[in-house]
Amino acid sequence: FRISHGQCTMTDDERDTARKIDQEKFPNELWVDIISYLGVEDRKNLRLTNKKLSSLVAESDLVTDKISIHETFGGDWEITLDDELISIDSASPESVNREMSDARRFFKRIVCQEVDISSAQLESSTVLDGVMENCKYDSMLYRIWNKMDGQYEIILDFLASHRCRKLRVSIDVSHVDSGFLMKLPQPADILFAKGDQLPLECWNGDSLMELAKICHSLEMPPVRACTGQACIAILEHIACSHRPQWFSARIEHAARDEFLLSLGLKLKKGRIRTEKSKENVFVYPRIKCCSGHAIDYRGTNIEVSHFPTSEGILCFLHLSNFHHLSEKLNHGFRWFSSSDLVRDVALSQAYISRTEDYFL
Amino acid sequence: PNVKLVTSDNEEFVVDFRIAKMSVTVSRLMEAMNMSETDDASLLSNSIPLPNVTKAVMARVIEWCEKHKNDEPKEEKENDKRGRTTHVVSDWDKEFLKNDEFGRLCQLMGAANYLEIKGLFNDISQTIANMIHGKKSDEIAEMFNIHCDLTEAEKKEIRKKTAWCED
Repeated sequence: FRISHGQCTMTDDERDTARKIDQEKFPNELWVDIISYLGVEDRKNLRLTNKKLSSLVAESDLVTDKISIHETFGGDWEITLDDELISIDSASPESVNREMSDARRFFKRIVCQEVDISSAQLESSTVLDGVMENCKYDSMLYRIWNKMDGQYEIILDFLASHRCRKLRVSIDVSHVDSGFLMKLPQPADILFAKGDQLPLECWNGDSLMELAKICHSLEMPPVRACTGQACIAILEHIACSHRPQWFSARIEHAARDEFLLSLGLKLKKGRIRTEKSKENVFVYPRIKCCSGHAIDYRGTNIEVSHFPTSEGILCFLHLSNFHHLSEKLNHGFRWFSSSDLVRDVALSQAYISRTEDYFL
Repeated sequence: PNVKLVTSDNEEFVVDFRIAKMSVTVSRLMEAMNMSETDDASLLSNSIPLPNVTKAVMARVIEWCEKHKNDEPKEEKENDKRGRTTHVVSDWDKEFLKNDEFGRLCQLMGAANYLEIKGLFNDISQTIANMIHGKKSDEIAEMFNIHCDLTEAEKKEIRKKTAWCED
């Protein structure tokens, strides 16, 4: 018998088998895999079909992109699980246990990309532990956007006991100081919310540099802290860092000019137009001197572009080291393939362009 | 070079070496039997028994493998499941699976599981999940020939405990 593209005849018996299958003989592990693709609503309907499936649903993984856990101003909790909202009226252990034990009828374990926690007062609360029990996650986003007097040490303890591959911490710079971030238990991507508002006094170039030194990546730190010298110091650090690290900031024109001058660069306003009409692309061939490690220099990318903000036109500066780029490439990003740009990159190991030019 | 596969109902399939290698199970068996791509004698003198797969199902498996034999190998990692929405069944695969009754899909899924052909297994799993999606419990039971052994009281209890996710 030699198969030729799907030509195979079925007997009547086989057809009948194909129509119906004895559910008792269908292996449980296959059902468990199918259930892992189902959302909560579908799981509920499947549970109502028979006892076997009801118990298999409870034994399956819930695979979802994100779990959001949010404490409201009233002290209640909202948990978004696979697009379903679970509201917990209070943070009492009984309430949490009741709600979560009901939710857990739909899964044994949660597998998700990210746990997103915001405005959580952790004191005497068991909500987070209750939700995150048996939860396998890749990254965590912890938002601290309110004043959290007396909570910072508890948050640090929580983060220390819930380490993950990637930690992101989003802070309001008018409530959180750099001392807190210095104590984070692992290198994190620090996202500065409201960086254009008046930050706490502690935020300056030195504090950003201290954070960079312990391998944090920084996104949109306060504009006034991002001086040209601060940017240079951070660039030099992350160029030599052995970890994926990056720095994205809005900076003033003066700071940009100071930054570029410190690298010994003249602003060369040659535009490279590509098939996609990318504008404002600047290439600085001598950028290799920026790290002071011209020979063994691990490529650091520098991107500068302009964008309008409520304060007028600011520059956007993005620095990312080789390890960070490799990490992005491993996650499916493709390197920009304009031959001009690639040649310059090869010559200089670094280049300046708009952010979106790097990855397609 | 070709490899001979023998199904549970003693049907012999002669397939390309590359197609045979798409199954982790067949690969392992070939290795255990010292069958290699460069050794024609070993391929001719041996056949791989597949007692858990019938000829009808094997034909479908091979058809799928023929289509995917030139695909880039995907590295499946233990923790690489990215969520339901990211598993995309290609148009060809949708077309390939759309006329299969649930029973046939289950047999195919069982074969993909036994043969360890991850891509086919995921496609079928996602396809069956799509068939369940949006259906009421009685519709699911009818479609999949599921005998309901829950009492009304038990159903009521389930509904009560799952009230939090009602629309």
